[in-house]
Amino acid sequence: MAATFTWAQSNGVTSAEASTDLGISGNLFNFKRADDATAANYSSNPITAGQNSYEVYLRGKFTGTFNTIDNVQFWKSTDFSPATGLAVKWDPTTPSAYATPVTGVSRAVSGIPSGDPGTANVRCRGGLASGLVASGYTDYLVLQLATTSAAPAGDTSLAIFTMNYDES
Amino acid sequence: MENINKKIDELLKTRQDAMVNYARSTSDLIDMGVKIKNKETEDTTLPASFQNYLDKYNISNLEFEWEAKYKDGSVLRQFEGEEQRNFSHINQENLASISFISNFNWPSEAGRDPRVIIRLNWETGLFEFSNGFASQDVRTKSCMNPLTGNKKLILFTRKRFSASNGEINDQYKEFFPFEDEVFYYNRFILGYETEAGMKALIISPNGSIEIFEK
Repeated sequence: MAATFTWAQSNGVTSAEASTDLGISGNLFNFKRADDATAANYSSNPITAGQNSYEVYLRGKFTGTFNTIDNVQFWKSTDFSPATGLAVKWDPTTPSAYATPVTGVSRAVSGIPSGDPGTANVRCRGGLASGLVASGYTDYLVLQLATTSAAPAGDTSLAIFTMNYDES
Repeated sequence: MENINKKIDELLKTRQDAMVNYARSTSDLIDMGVKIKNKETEDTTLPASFQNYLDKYNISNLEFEWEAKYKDGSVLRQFEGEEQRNFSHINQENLASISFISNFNWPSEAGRDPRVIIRLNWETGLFEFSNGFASQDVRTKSCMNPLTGNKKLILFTRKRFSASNGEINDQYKEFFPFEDEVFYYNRFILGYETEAGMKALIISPNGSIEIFEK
């Protein structure tokens, strides 16, 4: 009812972007050394301590009945626990153009906000105030897990990410 | 021997503190109106107000839905049968009042309408309440001294959801039942702005009401 939200992940080379709806809940993606849109195979594509994951390109996808979706905000509510040697980075410009995900330092160069930013920090149609006026996607949230040699072996544990938006 | 007992005691205390903190924080979240859903089990832990949730009004799965009344007596509802309306469908020129009405019952005196209703009289710019919790300060600021000038309606829902991401190490998985949770929290904003400023009420899913002015 009203607007329907789902996360969508893009992967593949720029010229052949593939977009996959992920849903809204559960472990929707994992940081790993593979560029695909499944959370399942992270253990066979591990990140060596000191290296980065592939970038993860996410978008919010809105469908259904609404007038506007705006004031879109994204932040990390809780960090991994423990978070030794782990840092989730993102691109605060939330670009509107997709690019082939890489493992090097490219777009995701800033620490992801760790609390409510208070104002929109995810662009729609290229602007923070533009919003959506019809079914569509937000611009891209480019995330990447950066590790140091201090990162312990094994799974990272859980972190909680939050999405907030206004719907009229 | 003593060192072992000390270690066991420390672990018991860590575990006990974690369980108590888990129970307290879950209770506090639910009291605030946060819905907690486990994706695996599909169980949703509901806010206390939802104990009185009214299925017959629950079209949208939102805690509040809006209803606009026009000067000619006609009514436009956000959800009505198969119809869904949004902000753009409201004719502000002919508006008499607009309300957010709860889909749950508020514990109230016998004989009174138990739903929470927050109404904005569009002609006077004054708010009216039926049930819910608003402090005296909120009531004073919203039920008196309306802003002058031509009004522009403010009506939207602020939606928040938080989901856990990541994996628990295999060695701990059998002791960790909390994966795949998602936390929903909606707020409902009703108000107006004029050249003189802005006045809006922020309605929480547990029925508490705050005011935002500028």
